[in-house]
Amino acid sequence: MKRDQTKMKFSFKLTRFLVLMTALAGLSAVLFLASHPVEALRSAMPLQDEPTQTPIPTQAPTPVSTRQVNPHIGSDCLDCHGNPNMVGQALNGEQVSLYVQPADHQGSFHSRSSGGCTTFCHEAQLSFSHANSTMDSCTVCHWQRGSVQTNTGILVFKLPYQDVRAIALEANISCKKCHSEIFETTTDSAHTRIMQEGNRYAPVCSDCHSGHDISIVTRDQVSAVCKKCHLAEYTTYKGSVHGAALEANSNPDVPTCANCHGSHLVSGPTTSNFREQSVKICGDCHSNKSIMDKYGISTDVLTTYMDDVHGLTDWFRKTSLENITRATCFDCHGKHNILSPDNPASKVYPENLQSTCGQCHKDTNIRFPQSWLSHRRVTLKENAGLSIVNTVFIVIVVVVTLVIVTFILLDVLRRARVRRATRKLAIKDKVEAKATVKEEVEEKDEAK
Amino acid sequence: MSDPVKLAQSHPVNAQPVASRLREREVKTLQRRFMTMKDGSLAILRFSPLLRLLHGLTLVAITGLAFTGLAQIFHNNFLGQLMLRLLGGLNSTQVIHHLFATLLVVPVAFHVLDMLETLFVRRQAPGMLPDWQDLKDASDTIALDLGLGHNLPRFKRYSFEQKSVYWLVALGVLLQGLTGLVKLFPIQVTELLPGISIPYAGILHRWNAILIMIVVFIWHLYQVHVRQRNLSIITGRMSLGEMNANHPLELASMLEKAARLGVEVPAGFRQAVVEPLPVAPMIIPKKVIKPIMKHEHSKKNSSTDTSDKESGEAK
Repeated sequence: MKRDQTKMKFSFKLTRFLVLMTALAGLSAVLFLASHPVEALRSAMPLQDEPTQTPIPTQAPTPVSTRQVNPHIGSDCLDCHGNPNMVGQALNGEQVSLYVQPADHQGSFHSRSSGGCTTFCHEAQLSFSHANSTMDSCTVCHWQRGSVQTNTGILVFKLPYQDVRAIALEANISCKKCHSEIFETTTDSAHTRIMQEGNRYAPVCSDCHSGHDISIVTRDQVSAVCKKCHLAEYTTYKGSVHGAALEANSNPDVPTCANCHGSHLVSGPTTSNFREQSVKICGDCHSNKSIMDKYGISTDVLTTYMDDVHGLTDWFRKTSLENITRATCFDCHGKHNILSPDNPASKVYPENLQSTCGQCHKDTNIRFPQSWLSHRRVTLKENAGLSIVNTVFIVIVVVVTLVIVTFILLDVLRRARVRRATRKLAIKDKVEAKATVKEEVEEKDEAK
Repeated sequence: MSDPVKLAQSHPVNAQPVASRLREREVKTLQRRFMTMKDGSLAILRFSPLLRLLHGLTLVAITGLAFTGLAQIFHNNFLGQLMLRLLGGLNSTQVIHHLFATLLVVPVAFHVLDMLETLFVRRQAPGMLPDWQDLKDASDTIALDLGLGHNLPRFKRYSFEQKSVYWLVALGVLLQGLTGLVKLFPIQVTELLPGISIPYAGILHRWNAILIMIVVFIWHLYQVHVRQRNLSIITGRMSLGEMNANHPLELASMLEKAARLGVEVPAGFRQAVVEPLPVAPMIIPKKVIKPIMKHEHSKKNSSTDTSDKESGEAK
């Protein structure tokens, strides 16, 4: 009977446990869903399919046959555009050289792979001024019927564009035909955004890669390309540890503009997205031992930052649960003006720390910056006092835990022994009681 | 009537001398502590409503602090992250942590005031003060557990285990409060102290928190809920049997005090006080155990109190 009861008790307990666990699981699922709206879950997944790669055409498309209309088409473009005197004039009076250096174009990758100027890039030019040239343009050369001017004066051609910039903007679209993937990437960049906001001088493909001498922008060329517009930033960068090393001996270890800001997908430095990425941007090189060992720079900077009060929010960046209001690398070390901490002009030079910390910690005082451990780990070598206190406290915790566990174990064991002894005794009592009852019965029988 | 002393004495409350008022209050408190339940069983009021309230507040505050604190310590861990997510992020977790800390200030302040009142108004020694007897009790317990000794320790109002938990937590909470304030107001603190004090406070706060959690959630819970189902801190009562087993000296001192003050005590209380067993049950030979166990059984059957098995075994 007792065994049945214990069994029943056990099964009842099991059922209760299972019901409780199911309820708990349900509750936690509800809480989880409440804290993750479905949109957030969806956003964690890849947003779109992999962009399909458009095949680069191997053969030139059949050119539009305009030979009958325009005798110029059969001739090489450079027959005319190889003349340095050719100048185009937009409708607003702006002038631009129409001269193409033959060497420029022949050195470009495009001259070798494509059928010619009009195949990919200058398709539009086929149709307008060359096919249906205005009288104004013809008379620049053909000032007399049947003859061509051969003088060396400047030849000004009227162009059907509002201004010179419109030419670049129109030609830019032709890049998309072959480089659609990269072109799509640029549409998310900060440059395209300001273009959409109305700045027609925001850079397009040809501004960085140039028009005819099209080439990949190398590490050494990057800063020269960016400085065309961002001169102030470039000047500051040139004075920083990174910029100086790049300028001096094109050091392969230091970051150029593109290493931090990206190339085609340039993102604005004021966006929260850039802030989120910044720790990774700096950390990628600064936690790399093979690079940092050359300059004797600690590779613990990232881990020590992450463990500290400022870096604690890092994992939230992935979930974007909250705004990153805490300091990232560039808040203390500067943006383009990053200098060695030993340099008195550096933002993190000990004497400048008070003002640097004061950017966020208002009313700071001279002692406050010492509370930041300057990326030093809590080890005996780097922070002896803290390390000793830490170790002593760990020892205390371990000792106290051991004492508690010992007390509990001894107590449990003693109780188990007492319980066993009690149970044995109870069984013996029962047996004896039965025996006495039997004896009594026997005695009674005998008496009868 | 301009004399303030006379004015004070004229008030009906102040007319009575302080000593006699205190005595009256003591008598009332003592009378209240000898309880006869509805079913006729006898119990002792072990904790006053104030102490129970303080314990409840401390329980809520420390549990809340532990959860929000652990989530911050283990922010790299999956569970820590889940916890932080459920609490709405790091910033809100910290706000909740500070709210619980503020809640903990209430029981601490009340407790300190209560202590001061006990010391300076009632002129009684607080039961939590450790003494040499606690060391003896501890060594007796270890000897008993190891089977080396024969003395079953008999406790006063608080056993050495309860005292050790109390002092570890009390001092720990004070240290937590101090280091927490240092962490919360670093700029104000560095007006007085060197900047390095902030990382020191951080390390102390973290490890001390873990120490408190181990003491509270392992030792304290084992003592109260695993070893026996002692709910006296919630109900306030402890049955006479349990009282006899766990705090016989307090019961004895209460009865003695009742006799001294002339407080009437129901007869059951005096009958219940039995002579302590000379030795612990597990060490006694079986032949000796039998009569003792029988004695226990008969006592259980005769008395109406519902003391559990544990208390019987502990004797």
